[in-house]
Amino acid sequence: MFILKEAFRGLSKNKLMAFVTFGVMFFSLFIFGLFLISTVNLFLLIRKAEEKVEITAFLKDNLTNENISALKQNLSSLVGVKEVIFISKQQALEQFREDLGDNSDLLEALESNPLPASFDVILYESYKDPKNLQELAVKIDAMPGIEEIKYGKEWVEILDKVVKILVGVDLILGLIISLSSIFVVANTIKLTVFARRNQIEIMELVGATHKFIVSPFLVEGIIEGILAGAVASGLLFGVYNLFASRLGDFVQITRELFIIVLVFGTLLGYIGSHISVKKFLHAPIGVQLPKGR
Amino acid sequence: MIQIYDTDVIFAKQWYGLKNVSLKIDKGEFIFVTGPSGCGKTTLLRLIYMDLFPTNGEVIVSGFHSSSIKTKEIPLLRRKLGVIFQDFKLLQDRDIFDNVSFALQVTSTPRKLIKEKVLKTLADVGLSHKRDSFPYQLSGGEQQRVAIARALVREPFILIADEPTGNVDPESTKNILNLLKDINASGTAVIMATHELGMVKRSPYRKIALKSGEVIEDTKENLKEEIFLDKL
Repeated sequence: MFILKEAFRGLSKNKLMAFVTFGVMFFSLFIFGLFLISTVNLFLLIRKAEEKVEITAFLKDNLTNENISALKQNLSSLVGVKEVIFISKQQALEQFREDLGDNSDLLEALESNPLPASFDVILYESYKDPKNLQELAVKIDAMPGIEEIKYGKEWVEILDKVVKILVGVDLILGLIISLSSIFVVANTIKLTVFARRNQIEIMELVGATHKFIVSPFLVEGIIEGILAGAVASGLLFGVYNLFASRLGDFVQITRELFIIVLVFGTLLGYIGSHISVKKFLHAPIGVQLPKGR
Repeated sequence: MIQIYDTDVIFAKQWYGLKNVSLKIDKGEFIFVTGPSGCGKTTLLRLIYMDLFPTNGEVIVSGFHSSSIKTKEIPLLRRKLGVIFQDFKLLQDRDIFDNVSFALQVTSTPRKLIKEKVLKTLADVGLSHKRDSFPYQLSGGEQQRVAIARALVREPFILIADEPTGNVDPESTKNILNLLKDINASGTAVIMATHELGMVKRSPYRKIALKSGEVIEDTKENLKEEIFLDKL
């Protein structure tokens, strides 16, 4: 009870500093939120690109229906394969005609259908890296009845590299934003604690435990963090709504994102206060202690 | 109650805060610690409330040993002591009642008991009528009495006073000294540091004189003013 009372007292008696801390936290959290939105959409983009990764296995022309269903069975039983879709010669031709569009007349010149039947082998996400694709491709290629396979080897390898670089950059950026937020917030809170170092000193003198001394400051930090998180989330949502119609489906925003910003705000307040108050415990100003107390 | 054995406090190379100090302080004693500025009075007091640990030697206060006390145990020791300073160290944004009750609140004393104890202690120091005032509305002497009330409200076995009269006028100095004597008469030991040799040299209480960190006199007899000139 005393701790809560002291926390609210601290906030109301030091309004200006509380407001500055709130402002710094809000700004940090807003940037953190923008970063999260970018990350979410970066992964969305990567997933969309990866969805296009599949193996197409072209069949020899002389296969019977039994051969084809046996082959489909074999393909489906491979580890990593999610779905196998059969495209008959006729379907391939129709697709080709559709792709040609206005130039589909050219196909009239053909006497027979030159396109082979094929299987589209769709894989689970975790099997879409170059190594697994290569292994599966070799296995499928060795199956009887398969004429040729195609999976965009070079493209997959480039995509894999780009994804790795993007994820790496994103992680480093996330780390920098998180750490710098904590650093800036902790230093701002340090100013508010400095203004009340007398109170800490008196508490230590009259025998308050460290936990008891630190708690009101932690509660204050958490309250400010939650408030700043809520306002930053609200503003992010507002800004998103403002631009949503122009951005279409491309940019997505989720409820989890707000929860993460709020949780990060709470953590920011807690860690920032913790770091700051600890600095003022057992540290008489201007005296080098022979041994810590 | 308090034992100090062969204690050195070395702040930096060749800079001794205290040098080879050995003392024993018994229950209910009244002691003046005196000497010129920088002689180690405050350092000696800080050793007692364990704001500082000796570089060599051992300090034992109410069963707590400086060599083995854990950080967590220091608050437990402090609850048995009362400490006052020259600059009062009052919280300017709280009234007198809150300043005194603060010492009880931070150690989770029940609210009803707090009120009872604070009102009684304020009456003891003669400040009941000022309980709703703020520190800046009081004179230096009154502020020091608030600080004394805050130290006493926990019913300590010893009151440590570091230059308590350094910031107050002669009349208030007399009042504060009388108050400390009354506190001592009720059984609480008092250790008071002061550099005002004139105030203590003829007092009947025990006097510990320090110079450059060393104890040069420990007596109940009158102190001679020359001691601070002679031994360098």
